[in-house]
Amino acid sequence: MKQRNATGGGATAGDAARRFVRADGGERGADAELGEWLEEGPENERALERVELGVALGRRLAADPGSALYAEAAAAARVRPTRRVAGRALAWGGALAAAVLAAVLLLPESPPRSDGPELAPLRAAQRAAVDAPGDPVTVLPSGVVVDSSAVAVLPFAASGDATLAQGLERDVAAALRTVPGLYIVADDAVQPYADTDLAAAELGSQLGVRGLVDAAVELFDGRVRVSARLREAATGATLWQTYFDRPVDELGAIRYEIAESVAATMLDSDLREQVAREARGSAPVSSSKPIPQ
Amino acid sequence: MADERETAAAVEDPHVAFVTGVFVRFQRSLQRYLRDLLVRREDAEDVAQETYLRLVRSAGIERSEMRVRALMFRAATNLAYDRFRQRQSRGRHDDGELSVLPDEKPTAERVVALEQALRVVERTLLGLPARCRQVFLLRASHECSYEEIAERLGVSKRTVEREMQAALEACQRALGGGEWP
Repeated sequence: MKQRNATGGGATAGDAARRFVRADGGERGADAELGEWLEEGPENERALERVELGVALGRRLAADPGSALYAEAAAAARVRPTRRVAGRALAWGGALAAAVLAAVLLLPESPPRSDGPELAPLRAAQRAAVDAPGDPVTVLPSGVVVDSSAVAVLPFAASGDATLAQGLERDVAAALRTVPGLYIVADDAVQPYADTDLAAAELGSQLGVRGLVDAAVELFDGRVRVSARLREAATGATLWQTYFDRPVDELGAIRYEIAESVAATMLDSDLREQVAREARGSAPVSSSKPIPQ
Repeated sequence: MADERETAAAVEDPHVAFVTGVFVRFQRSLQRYLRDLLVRREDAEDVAQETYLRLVRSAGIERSEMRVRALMFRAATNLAYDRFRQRQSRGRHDDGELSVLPDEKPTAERVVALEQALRVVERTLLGLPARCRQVFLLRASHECSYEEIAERLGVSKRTVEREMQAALEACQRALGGGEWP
């Protein structure tokens, strides 16, 4: 690729990218420094524009099924964590521990526990997520094979102002993306399915997912009413549902509650399915270790 | 008169006042950026106007100028991209429609800059080392934080930042000053 000029690819190239990353990562003072740096000259603005253009177009390419980056972007989202920080492990530990508890109840003859009693459930939960089968699959009635950990966050229906519903939809998807072991299909990929009449199985087949999250959102007299549910694509059955009627400033909490419940339900049913298959003696779903008690 | 009152009331809203200030500060830069992408001044002005409205309508949570600026450029690129896609689609499905509009250049000429930029970014990203590309995609496409990416890939946050910087630097160099190959 040939070099352009100093404004686009010269001396400021590293500067613009470095400053962008620092500000993007929320480093203290980086925003202010970036602002001051922009004031130093138009070449700096130009350089930062190119960086932003790269990010924005890269994002669109990743969401475009016609792009060579599409498949890789989807695969990148499935990368399992190789280590965990305490905060994250604790944040999702509850959901995972619940999943392991379900496994314990369903698999009484599992190998004896080797860890100390206090740490065992959390460690087991972590191993269950990290060592879980690479890509367990579910076969939909149409014969389409989908990733069992894939969930689509469908466009939320709005009564009145659509901004609130769109924001909540985006936030729930973003929160779910932080959950190890889940693969989320959302945003641009699901927009064609707003107000769709398609059956759950057809939606699952088209989007390649096992779970479907949707919700209806209404703002009324300073309160937000949200009706949300998680359905299984294969059967259309509602796995989880809820209804909130709360002050609008609790929207942030609602997002996490929906994401946590969806994640817990998906991970729990994932493990139940795995355990049931192993108990039936069907083809092994994984070469990984059995789920410890 | 009513319009003036509405405008005055809107500017009194701290969120509107703040984003308006940021928009005015970076307006020239934004319009130049959009002209590079969309070629036609009218298109660039339309998209800049739409970008401003999006900023005003967005939730008033950002109080950092640089974050609002980043949001502004991202929104503008998305709007430009949508316009580009619509025109591509119209060009494919309804070739006759554009020809009746006066002073319109052919579709291909009007969208060539953005189309070229897309191909340049695609080629550049595909030419990066795998981990570097993975970091870029996790951040830009999936909006993972640098900490989350580090956790997923089993590397330090510093390594993630370095990889992201390398990816962005490569894109910036490839995109150059707007005269895309």
